[in-house]
Amino acid sequence: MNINTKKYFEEAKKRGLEPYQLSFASSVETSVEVFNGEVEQQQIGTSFDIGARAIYNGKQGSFATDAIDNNTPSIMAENILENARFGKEEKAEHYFKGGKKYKRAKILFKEFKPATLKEVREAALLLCKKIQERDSRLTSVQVDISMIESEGNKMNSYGLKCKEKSKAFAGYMEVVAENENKEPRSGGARFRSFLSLEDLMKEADKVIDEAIHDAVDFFGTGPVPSKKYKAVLSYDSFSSLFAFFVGQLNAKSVHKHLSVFEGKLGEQIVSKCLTIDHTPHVTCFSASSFDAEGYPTQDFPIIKKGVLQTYFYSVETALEEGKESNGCATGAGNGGPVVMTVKKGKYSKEELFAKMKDGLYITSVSGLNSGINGQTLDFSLPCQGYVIKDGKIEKATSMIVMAGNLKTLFNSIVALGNDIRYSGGTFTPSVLVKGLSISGK
Amino acid sequence: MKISKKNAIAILNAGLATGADYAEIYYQDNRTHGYARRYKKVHAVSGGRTCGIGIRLLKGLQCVYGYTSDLSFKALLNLASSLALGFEGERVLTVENLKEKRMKNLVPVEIPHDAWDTEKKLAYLKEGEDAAFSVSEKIQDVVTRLSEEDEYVEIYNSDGIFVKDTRCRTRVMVAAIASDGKSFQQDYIGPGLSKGLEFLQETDFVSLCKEAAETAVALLDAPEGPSGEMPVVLGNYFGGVLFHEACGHPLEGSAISRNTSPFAGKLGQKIASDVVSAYDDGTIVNGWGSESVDDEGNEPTKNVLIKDGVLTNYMLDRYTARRISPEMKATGACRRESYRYMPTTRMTNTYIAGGSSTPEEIIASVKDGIYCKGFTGGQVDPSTDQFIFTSDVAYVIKDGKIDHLIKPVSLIGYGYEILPKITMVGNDCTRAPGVCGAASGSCYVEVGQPTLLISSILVGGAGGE
Repeated sequence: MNINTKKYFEEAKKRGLEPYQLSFASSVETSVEVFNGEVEQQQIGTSFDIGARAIYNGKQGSFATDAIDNNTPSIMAENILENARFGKEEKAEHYFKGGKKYKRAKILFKEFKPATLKEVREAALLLCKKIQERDSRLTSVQVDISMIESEGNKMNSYGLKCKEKSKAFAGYMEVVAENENKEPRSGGARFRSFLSLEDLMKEADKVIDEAIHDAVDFFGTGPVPSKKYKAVLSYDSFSSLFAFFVGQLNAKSVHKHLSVFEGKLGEQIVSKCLTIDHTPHVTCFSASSFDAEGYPTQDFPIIKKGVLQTYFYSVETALEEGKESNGCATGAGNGGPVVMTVKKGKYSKEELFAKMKDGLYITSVSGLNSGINGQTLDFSLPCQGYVIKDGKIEKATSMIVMAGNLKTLFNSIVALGNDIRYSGGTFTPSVLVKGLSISGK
Repeated sequence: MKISKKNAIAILNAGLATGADYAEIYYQDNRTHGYARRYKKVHAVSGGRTCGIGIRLLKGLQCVYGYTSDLSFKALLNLASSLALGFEGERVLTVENLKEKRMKNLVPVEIPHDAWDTEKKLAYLKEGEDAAFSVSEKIQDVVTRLSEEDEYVEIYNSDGIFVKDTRCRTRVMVAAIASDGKSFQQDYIGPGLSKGLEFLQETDFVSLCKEAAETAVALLDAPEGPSGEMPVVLGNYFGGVLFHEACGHPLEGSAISRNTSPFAGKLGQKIASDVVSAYDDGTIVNGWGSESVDDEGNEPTKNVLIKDGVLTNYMLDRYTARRISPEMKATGACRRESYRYMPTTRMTNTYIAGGSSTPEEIIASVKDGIYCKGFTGGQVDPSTDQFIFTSDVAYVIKDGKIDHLIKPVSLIGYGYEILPKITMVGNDCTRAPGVCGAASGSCYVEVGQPTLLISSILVGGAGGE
């Protein structure tokens, strides 16, 4: 959709809204869901969203909509003005003025090979068939494949103008298997960020066995005794916990005395094994050239050998410290990472098991929407995995809960794997931890 | 009508061109306003409008869905025609006319959202914030928020029906964060109803803010919770999240119709103890999960899911009902977050009915266990029925008496194993608002139950046995 951005700025100016920042994004999504070899659902969607914020008499208002017509510029300006009358106190210098160079994120959309709905449908059917043929205990197989083309734009009355396109295929498979006792167990795998259906199918093929193992390995399993264990956390499990941990590195929380890492710059906050970099331009689903304020994203070290190097800044929080933003704004002055990479270790998964000798290999963690507190970093989460005895997988275990505090857990990391994988905005390896409290039988 | 009758008929017929046996147009115009205070200041005053159309076609057991925010007749006709290409075949149905179906209004509003100005709303929040800060110097921050939502929906379908609905929701929340200089703790309370601003007048927000602050401060000194299998007393109100996760989701049409729920094919069978009766009741006037018409044009129902421990019904929408058998009917609980989501069966106001025991009797019956009073939410895998939910305000029970507060703990189990272990049900049923995320996006749901006893469940505290 083409929009007349000039009119939005004119309507804002007429009402004394200055500065005025406009963001708009469009996306086209085609998706297919296949269940047990039958196409169940097909979807085509187009969306266009526009949002703006602005200052009026030192206070900020905002408004967002997808109802776009000739009246939208004036409706938006009126709503922002009304919201700003009693809105948040805000300074004009907290709006990014532009003029910085952007490093292009490696979203290779020019090499993208689009597919028709029919081609997506056929790929999903083929993948479903492949999975079904892999194991006779599978009672249900669901495959979702989607093709998403999107574009995001930001501009403001200071002259900021930036745009990013993204085109990718993504998919998901979910299986349910039953044993002779009709005991159901489920497994699944996500695979995303591919430039063609062919690439997606190749990667999907690699993770079929993982998804099936997630289900069939856990037939007839139960909890291990409640106690502290040494444990290897798979890259997926580690990554899901890590996302909460770094939430405490938001500079805004630090300034408001709400972060457990306040005053910890230059100090060791996690195990010396951990070195973590901000890598927003690497090829992955979350890569971006600019942050929520349009500020260029940057490569920088976050944690070096366990020592905290920086917080995540927006223009506002950086100014408070007399420095420049590091391109991590997430909105409302807050900061967070775009993409992180945890430096991998030297051990294969088998070597990590050998180093641990006896303990647990945690392969999946759930309940993240309620079982972890991003403020206190306390967690109590159901998980499953395998019992490791003498460095070898002995049996699977399920219906166990891991509990503790992320600060303590990440301080107890003693070794890292070399099996780095992308999951949820972070490239992480598997890690070996000294002490993990497990509730079981 | 937002789309003229003539145009709506033309769009439906374009969708039916290749043999679809059902076509539906869903129009949504949703307006939201948010007011927030944080760091002892106004944090945000914002607004938004979501407006668009979703078109759904069914052909036997296949479904095609599309959406757009371009409301022009040309765009909608194109979308319907493109969606029709998802099927191959000849037309079997033509829409000749559309007739309005009128529904009973389940969301009467006394004071509309525009009756108070922004200043008055922010003052309401500030009063709560001040009360929370007054509790202790250990209160580091207080977040208060007021969310308002006004929605207008129209549905046109190939049964020749046109239906409209006006929805209204108001919710306030407080999150108090306490610190002793070494660690942080927090508590959250967030009531809401399908009402206008009269809800604010009926809510003692100041007391709720104080309660959240007192809990956050008390949690600073609370020891870790125990771990292992033990008896657990679940408090009323948001304790209903147990039933929502452990039983509600696996009884939704999507899991039942695919035979991936442990409750599939078990109608008429005993799945819970005798003391358990449960409902999904979309007909509760002003209920947080109530709407006068569901998102495929059906009237909501009071659906008896379990009666005295016996499974009596599922929750179904038009599509999942036809997947099970031609005899099954939709139960008026087809829902979606917005026009960008294909609708499916979702819970409305789901609760376990009250029993005969008093909460005191239930607690007195436990020698060693825990009493969970406050909850943050949960999650379930409907295919295995393994659930988790987390209690952020929980106490150790010793010799039938509440002993001391503990840090938040999670409880996990399989729903089908837990339902028979509910051995006592209290007489104090209340319901609480929540937001449930699943296949058709985030939907407003009410959960509820009286205080009840689970004879044994796995508790995941960090404090050991």
